Amino acid sequence: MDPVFARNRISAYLDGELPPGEAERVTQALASDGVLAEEHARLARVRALLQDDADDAAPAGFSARVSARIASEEAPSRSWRPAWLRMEWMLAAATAAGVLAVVVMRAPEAEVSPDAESLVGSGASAEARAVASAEAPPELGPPAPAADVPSLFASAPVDGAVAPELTALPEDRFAGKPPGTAPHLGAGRSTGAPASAQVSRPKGTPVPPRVVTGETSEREPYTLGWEATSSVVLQGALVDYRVDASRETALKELAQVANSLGGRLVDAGGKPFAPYPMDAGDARKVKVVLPPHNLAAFAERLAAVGAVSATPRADLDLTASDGPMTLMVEVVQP
Amino acid sequence: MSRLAPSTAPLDDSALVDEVRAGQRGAFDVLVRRHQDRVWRVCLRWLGDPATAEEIAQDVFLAAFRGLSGFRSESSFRTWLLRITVNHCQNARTARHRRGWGRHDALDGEDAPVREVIDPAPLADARADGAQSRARLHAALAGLEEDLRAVVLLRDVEDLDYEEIAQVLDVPRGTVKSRLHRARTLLAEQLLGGT
Repeated sequence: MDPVFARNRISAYLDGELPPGEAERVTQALASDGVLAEEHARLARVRALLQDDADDAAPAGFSARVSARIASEEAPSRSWRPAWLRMEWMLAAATAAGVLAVVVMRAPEAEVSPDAESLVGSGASAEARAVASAEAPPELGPPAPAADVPSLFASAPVDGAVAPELTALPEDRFAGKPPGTAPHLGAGRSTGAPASAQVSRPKGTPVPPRVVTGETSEREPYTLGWEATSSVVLQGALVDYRVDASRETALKELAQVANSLGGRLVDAGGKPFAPYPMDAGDARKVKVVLPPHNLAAFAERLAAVGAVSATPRADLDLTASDGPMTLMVEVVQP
Repeated sequence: MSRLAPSTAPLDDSALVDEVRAGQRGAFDVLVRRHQDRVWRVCLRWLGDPATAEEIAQDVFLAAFRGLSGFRSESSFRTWLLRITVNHCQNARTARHRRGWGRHDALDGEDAPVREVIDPAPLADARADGAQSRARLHAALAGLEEDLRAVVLLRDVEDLDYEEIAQVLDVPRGTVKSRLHRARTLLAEQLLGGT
């Protein structure tokens, strides 16, 4: 009997996960090899310790707290899906906006502004989030007439630090391909089309997805993709970012943009919101509270990377567990 | 009358998922109560700190609720939920390290190698000495690499078979087997002394 063969299979043998032939060979090895039998006994004991430790129950009231959080996100929704995910709501906002496009943002972590880092570091805990609920911004007002929308994209003074670098691909790069099929592009970066080209897209025109690549300072280089649509309403903008599953810094980058304009992220309830790494299937609605005079600048930043869109995505099923992450950004004035 | 009335036979997870999709929000509460302990256990073992574990466990269920429309029943709801749980735990831990806050030093294996936090003396009386041995066990778990911790939690704490673990972690079955062997071997060294 090959002792290596048996030793490598002891755990699976313990779990009854070996094919009958292999299990028989391990049984024979254990009977004839004292060292192997001792190893088997040790692993069996570890397994028993772990199994004995598996009797924890969730804290009292846990399910009620989950239910309350869901209810708070749903209200005043009529269906089980969060209101912000329902297409009719997005359609209304988008119709009011009358402008459409798809965007890509890129801002590696190394470029995160000090303000953004400060936000990440200070506001991440639940305790911190609970502190400033009094700062909750007003809810969105009614949609603006379509004629008001272009003014949001006019140049405006920027109040804050230097803006992060935002990059978009040429608009026709993925023309004709359905959303989500854009290839990843390796390590290169591309230059963006002029903002005006994005804004001028006729209402209802299908918009190709855009993809950029990047890398973080802490992980191996990876390919990422952003797709987003933006519906602009009277007091702000709603941006639905669709993020590649490998992408986890979307919120941080959003914080970077907001901070550069003197803004901050808050959750749906208006509490300070700390960026966290998103994962596949994750969905999050956040608000960006901006000084009124920087709202246009924010929209301009988004427009500069193509973040102008007016048609809700028909394929905006962003909730699959293994699918893209969803980041919905609602911009409000304080 | 609601199909969730107490007089009806218990619905399995798949039926409950259908109920939720049909607008029966209460069905999701049933799913939460049914699976909260396993999600909680994984979060607590993974993250160490009960407050953080509860926050992340809640996030897991919220993510599941939001993602239910995309759940295609290609795996069991339990497997799918545990996959979300593992993802959230990995991300929460990564975020904590990046931010340098909320660190649970005693259980934070990435910063506190297990050899430094575990008494090398064998746990001869581990089962009798409940609280202490449990703390040591949790510390040893925290000291494992995340890939190893995941398999051992899913197998020995949550009692998933290798195929289910492979689905949760999206790795081949052979990888589950090798990681589990490695994880148990390391835990044995830490908890029971050298070989």
